[in-house]
Amino acid sequence: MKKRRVVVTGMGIWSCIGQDLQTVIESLQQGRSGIGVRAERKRYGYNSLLTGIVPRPDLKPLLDRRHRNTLSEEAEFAYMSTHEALQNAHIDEAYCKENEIGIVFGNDTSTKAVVDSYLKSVEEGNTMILGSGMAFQSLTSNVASNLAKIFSFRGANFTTASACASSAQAIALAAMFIQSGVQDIIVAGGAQETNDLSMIAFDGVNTLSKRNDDPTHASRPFDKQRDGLVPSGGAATLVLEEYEHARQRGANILAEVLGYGFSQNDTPLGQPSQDAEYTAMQRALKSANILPQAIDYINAHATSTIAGDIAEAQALTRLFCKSNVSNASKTSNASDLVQCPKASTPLISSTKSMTGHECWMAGASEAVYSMLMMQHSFVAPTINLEDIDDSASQLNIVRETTTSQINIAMSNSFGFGGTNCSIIFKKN
Amino acid sequence: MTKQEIIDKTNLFLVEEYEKQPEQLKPEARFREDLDLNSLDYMDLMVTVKRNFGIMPAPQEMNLVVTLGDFYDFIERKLNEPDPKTDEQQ
Repeated sequence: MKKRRVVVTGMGIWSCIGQDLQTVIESLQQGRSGIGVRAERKRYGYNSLLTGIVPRPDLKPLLDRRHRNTLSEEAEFAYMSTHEALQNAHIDEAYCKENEIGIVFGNDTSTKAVVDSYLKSVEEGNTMILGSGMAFQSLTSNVASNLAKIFSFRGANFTTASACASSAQAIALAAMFIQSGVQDIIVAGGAQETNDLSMIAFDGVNTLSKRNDDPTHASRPFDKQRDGLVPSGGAATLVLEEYEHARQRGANILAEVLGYGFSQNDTPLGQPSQDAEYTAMQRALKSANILPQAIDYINAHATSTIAGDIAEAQALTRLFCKSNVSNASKTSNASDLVQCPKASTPLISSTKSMTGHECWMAGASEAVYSMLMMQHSFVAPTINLEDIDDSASQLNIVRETTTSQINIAMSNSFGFGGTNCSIIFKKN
Repeated sequence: MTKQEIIDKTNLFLVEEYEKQPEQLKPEARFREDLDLNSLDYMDLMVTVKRNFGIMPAPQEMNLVVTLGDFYDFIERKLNEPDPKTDEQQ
């Protein structure tokens, strides 16, 4: 049986660096930060007041009350990104009604709905005061179920929840469904809430940057002065389609999902594992049937945490310093590696330097950012990278916007719970 | 509160919050068939009634409401019910 290929035929984005594809292209090219300060977080005891500033969309002109009522904050973002992705794929309302479309969306929390429900019920002494919307908004699957209802997706409907790898897994799982013949078209993506409750526990474990007086310079992946991640959010959506189906539909094919790889850390929760990250990337390469040298660009997970960036830098160094590949599983320290020329490593950047960490949405948004770079032949910079960490010294990390043809890109997503996923895209 | 005030207030939130057209709001309009209100909307209406009139209907009471006219009457009746707490004190 001929292998079913998976292509991307549409994408949409709602993020802190732009709420449409064109604005996001400009932000990526200009190295524009979307990070700001939420002073209100002081009252919750946050040490970090930093966040991606993501506007809430005005949905009243777009959706009726019943549809709006069940949308969580992150589902509102996802409605906007999915609306744009479907337009981008030239899929209209009639097409959705006449054809079966599936959905796989990454989302790992819906904190505000749960906390608000609790507080209001306690205050009133009656759960009936919550009305009907909160029951739906409280589900992590609320994004996928709401989008399916609104856009008439009647196929497979899955929610992936694996922290910061959630939406990378969504894309990979959607690709698997298409490859196996379960669906011909799947909307895949991820969403992340940005409200003051969403990241409070992460502040509590000291993972967030405290550079409150300098928000646009707070997210600084691979820089020696980094002091933690900056939480952010929004939503990103891809339309994935079987290749022949896309051709017959006359769709504009943006890229192909060439491969993907998964792994799980064998380290304590919250501690990154360069071994497992290396494994995820190796498996993605194997799945794509390509060698590391074929990769032109890597959108690193690189969140600007002390330990996380080192682990990824070490895993990337192992992967691209060819002489060490065979010994990779035995190598635990980047300093053990022999020197390899930077020219032998692909261009690497962390768009989180501009967006902050978009968490559950990051795998999908960074796939969108990578494909926009592919389409427009540039690599977005890792802004705020002034003094590179020793662990990344052998890597070709891009600091300024660089003109470059990208044929094949890899996007890394490594979850807080130790779940890793790497995806490889090829320009059409 | 007069009956007309109840009608005006009810019609206002049905237009502004529930996005019904003013011309739909006739006393004989049926909640489900004419106003397209389903069981989840009923749950939301209970909260809206609480916010606007200070009374919280029970779900079984709302299920007896068939038309908009029934709804006006129901709110009027609830507003005129003696307050059990006040009764006990007397």
